[in-house]
Amino acid sequence: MSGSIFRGMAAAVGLSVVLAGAVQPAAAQVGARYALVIQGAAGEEQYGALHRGWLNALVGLMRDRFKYDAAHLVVLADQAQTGEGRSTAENVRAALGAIATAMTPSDQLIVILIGHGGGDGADAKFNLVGADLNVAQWKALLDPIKGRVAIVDTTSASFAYVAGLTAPGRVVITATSTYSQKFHTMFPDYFIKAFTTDIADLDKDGRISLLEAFSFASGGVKQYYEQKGTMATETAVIEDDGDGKGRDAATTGPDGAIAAVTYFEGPSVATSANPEIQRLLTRQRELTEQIDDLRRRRGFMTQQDFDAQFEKLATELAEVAAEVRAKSATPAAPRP
Amino acid sequence: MLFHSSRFLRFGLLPAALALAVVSVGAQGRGPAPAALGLSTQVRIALGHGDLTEARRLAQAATDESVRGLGLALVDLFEGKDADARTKLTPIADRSPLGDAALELGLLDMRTGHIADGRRRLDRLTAVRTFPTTDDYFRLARAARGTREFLLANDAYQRIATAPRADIQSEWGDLFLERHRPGDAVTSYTKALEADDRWVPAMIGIARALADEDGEASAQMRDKAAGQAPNHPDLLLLMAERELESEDSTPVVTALDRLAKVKPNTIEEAAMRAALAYKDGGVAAVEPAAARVRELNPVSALAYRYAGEQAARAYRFDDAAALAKKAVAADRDDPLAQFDLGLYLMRTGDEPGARVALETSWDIDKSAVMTKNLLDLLDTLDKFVVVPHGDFIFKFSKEEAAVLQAYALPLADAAYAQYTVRYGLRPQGPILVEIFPEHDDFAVRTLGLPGLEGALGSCFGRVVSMDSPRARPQGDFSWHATLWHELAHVFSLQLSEYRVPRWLTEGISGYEEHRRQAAWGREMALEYARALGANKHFGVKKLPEAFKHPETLSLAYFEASLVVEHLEALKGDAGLRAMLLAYAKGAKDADAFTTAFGQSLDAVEASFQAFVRERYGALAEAVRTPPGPEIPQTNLPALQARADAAPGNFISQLSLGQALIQAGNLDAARVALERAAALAPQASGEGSPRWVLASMAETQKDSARARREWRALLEFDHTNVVAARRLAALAAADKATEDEDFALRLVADLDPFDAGTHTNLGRRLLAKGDAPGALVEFQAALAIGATNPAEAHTDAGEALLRLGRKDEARRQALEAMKTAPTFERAQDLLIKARN
Repeated sequence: MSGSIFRGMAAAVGLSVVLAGAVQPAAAQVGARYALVIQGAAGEEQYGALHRGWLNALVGLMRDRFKYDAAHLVVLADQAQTGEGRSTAENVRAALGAIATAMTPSDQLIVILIGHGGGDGADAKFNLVGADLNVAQWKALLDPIKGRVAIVDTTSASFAYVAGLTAPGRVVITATSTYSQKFHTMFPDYFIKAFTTDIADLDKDGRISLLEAFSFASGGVKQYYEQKGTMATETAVIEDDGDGKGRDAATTGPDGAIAAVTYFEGPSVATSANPEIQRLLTRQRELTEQIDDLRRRRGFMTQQDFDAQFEKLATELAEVAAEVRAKSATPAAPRP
Repeated sequence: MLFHSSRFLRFGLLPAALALAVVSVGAQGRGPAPAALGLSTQVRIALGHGDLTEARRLAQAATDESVRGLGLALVDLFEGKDADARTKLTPIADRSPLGDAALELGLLDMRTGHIADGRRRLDRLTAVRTFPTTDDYFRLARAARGTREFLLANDAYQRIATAPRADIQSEWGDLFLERHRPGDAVTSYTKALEADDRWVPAMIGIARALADEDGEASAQMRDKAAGQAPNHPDLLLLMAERELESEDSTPVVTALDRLAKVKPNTIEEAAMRAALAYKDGGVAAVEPAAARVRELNPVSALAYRYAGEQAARAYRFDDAAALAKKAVAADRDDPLAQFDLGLYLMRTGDEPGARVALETSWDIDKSAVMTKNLLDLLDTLDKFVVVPHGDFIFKFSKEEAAVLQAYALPLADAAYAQYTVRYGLRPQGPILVEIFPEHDDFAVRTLGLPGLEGALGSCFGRVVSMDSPRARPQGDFSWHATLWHELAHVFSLQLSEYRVPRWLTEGISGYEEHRRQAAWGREMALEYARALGANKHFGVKKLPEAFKHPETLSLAYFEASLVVEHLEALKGDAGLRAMLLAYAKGAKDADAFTTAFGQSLDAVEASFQAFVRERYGALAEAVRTPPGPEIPQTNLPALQARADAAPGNFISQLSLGQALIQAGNLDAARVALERAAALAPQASGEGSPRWVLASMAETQKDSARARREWRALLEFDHTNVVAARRLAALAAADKATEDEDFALRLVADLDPFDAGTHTNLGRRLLAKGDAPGALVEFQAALAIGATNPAEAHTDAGEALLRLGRKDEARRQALEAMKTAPTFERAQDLLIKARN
């Protein structure tokens, strides 16, 4: 996750990685970024502390690392602290109502739910302080929002949200994949960690997309249960093609294309005032686009042809990138 | 691979066999009239009680000629007077071909090799499938068993399953026991005894069924039978069977001689003598005894089967297979002989040959659980990846092969190299090593049945099978130690020509573990110290007996390894070698000690006792239960007083430390816990002083101290993967590379399917210049499915580049860039690899 000048270009590469053979998503967001982070009713003390820790970690990342505008970062908690509201249904309605009013079609909202879920089947509910909202009520609050919306329900019994909240262009991630997965989840722990480690950055573009965070967290949860020696009681699901079905991380499918270009941070474009470097950056962009194009055509080529063409492009890309680094004297990203 | 879509276990699932076979029953003789039937039943009951006198009296009192003849024939059969029985039974059977006499005569014919006559009589009985009475079904069940129609026999027994009859339940138990289903057998025998608590065959059946699982209960039942009918032929046979396992053959001979006296000319007695002949003289000695069996029944496989079982018990599976082949040659239609052959061939490593025999057995008898299990296992093994490697052939599951072989092969090579020198033997190979991700597959490979919960690995001389790390919860065991242990068996078994006693081969393997890694094979130290303190350890002389009882097995393993350590200290590896060679020449324990060490067993016992007292005496003292009543954790003053009074007592210090933590006095707790840890550093697990100290230090953000405590814990608690992971994380954060290297290696060994650990370990190894080692780790990460494939390919490529394997490095760089074209490390690697 370097802070190098390659970010903008890398984002394009990241897009191409996921798109190979998949549907064309909307372009990456360039508008304002909004976030609503809710810690629901804590229940037992041990969970209260755990959930509060996750909330703090996540909000800290969004505020300090991803530079969310304080006015766009709404935090609701079981025990509200300064600048936070209480996680009641009324406050949720108010927050989403205000966000819906403020957002434009080019803006992005990420809603993250931390806490407990309950209820049966499609009637599942995220546990708020006081009365809960059912899936239909959540949908009614989200639907008026213009712009891209991603909702991540990290709680137990969250599966109902996949079908219940799906909408064109919307990313829905849930910690559970069946109605019967009702035990406390560890997904949020790994989901938040994803934004703090290079390992989650699969395409090494310096940014963690929601899809990458989902993949990392899914792997982490799987390993958590394996190491614990118990059967996994949660399997996360991602849905963003609008069919309301979703898939888990071990399955391939169209879901994830939009999540792959949805980030916490805003976009950045690699530019340089040095014409020589700018020329190289332009060439670098062209090469990454050519690689992206080549990968799209992979299914129609022999392996031998693909490998030969890929190596040619990759080698030139590596050489150009090295030249950019040398000329701009940008320190290389630290080795993991 | 053979397709086994029809390989459904049929036993107990086939009521259809009877329901579909509708055959009309004519009026022609179905045996004696009801009143007469009652009398022959009474004779059977008397015989079931072992009361021969009463049986004879009842038979002689019968007024009906047929009943009298049948009753006396039953007595004759009990006494082994087969010819007399035949004379009495034949006219009755001819008159009543569907009656009891026909059944007894048919069974007698089958038992004595008059197969055609026997089949002719029994087939008539088994052709009839619907009956009005329980006795009819019982007759059918016995006839079907006689003709090896086990499904039909079982089906018939099921029809009368609720009959409160000792004879029925007991014979059903025999059927189960013969089909390797001791649990079901015990159920039936128990029902028999519920119906008639004097039913001797049921007592003997339970004793036989429980012999391996619960020796004490088995002996009790045997004693009960002996109390009621000391000369019952089946009891004498059972006694001979049991005695076969002891070193001395005399008790076997005595039991068989007694059997011959009360029931001469039984095929079981003759076959048992064949087993005894093998025990005393090997394969060649079996023939005269087998000839005697042939005199009694020319087509019987029993002599070779019993001798084969004896060979298998002694781990001489080549002999066992050779004898089983003779058994099969004697009676190709004996499913048990075919099964034995399959089982023994599997244990020699000849899996294709085993499959042929097992398939044949299955074709004859589709009720045999173990046959089905082994065939299913062979199907599983067919899907395994086979890796020939030097003197080894490894078999791994497809999912585990890439990761496990990277570790297993070098480890096996190291073991082979060390053991070859140490034992002066290049073992007969190839050595087949099979590693199962499913524990039940390992259990079936070992015993033919699932279960075997406590076992981690097994060795049959040339075949090693074991659990993979995935077969058990993480931290349950070290599969490295298991492989090391089992491979030691290959050498001790082969050098002794499979005559090494169990205590010694296990002791050698346990000690070899310890030699390889100080913590391996020493997991029971605390328990042993407690036993030593209570004088409940075994010593050299009692070890063989301790290995016979499940409840003392763990401690016996541990003490056996100490005995071997002591023996090695006495005369080095040469002493151990000499001892194994002495066994190879047929020496018994006492002679082997004298030959190898020039000392009597008593002298070795004395020096061993001194050795363990010196080694574990202090620990034994430390782990004694503190005197006085138990003190609750809340009574801190009392705990403090006790700890002050007993500074050398582990439990006093530990419980004080725990109480002080609860009271929030961490500094004082630490003092007590450190004292406890010093007293018993072997204490392991979450409740151990070291664990608590490490956790405390973590809480207090003193990571250096936490690392020291984790490290100290792991020096003994070597399978504690949780502690190792915590140490690795702390060490990485502190950049404490020595601790990190230690912890990562341990985690990778215990959980080789943790890709992240392989990556981290590989990077540490590469940083230290160990590119070959690093490459192994990176390749393991890739095989498992690294969290970040681009990084994993780049890691592997960088190691390859370091090794000068530029072309492979280039390919790895390209693989990384296919996922992440802008990944700088991959780009750099590509440029370097192409230059």
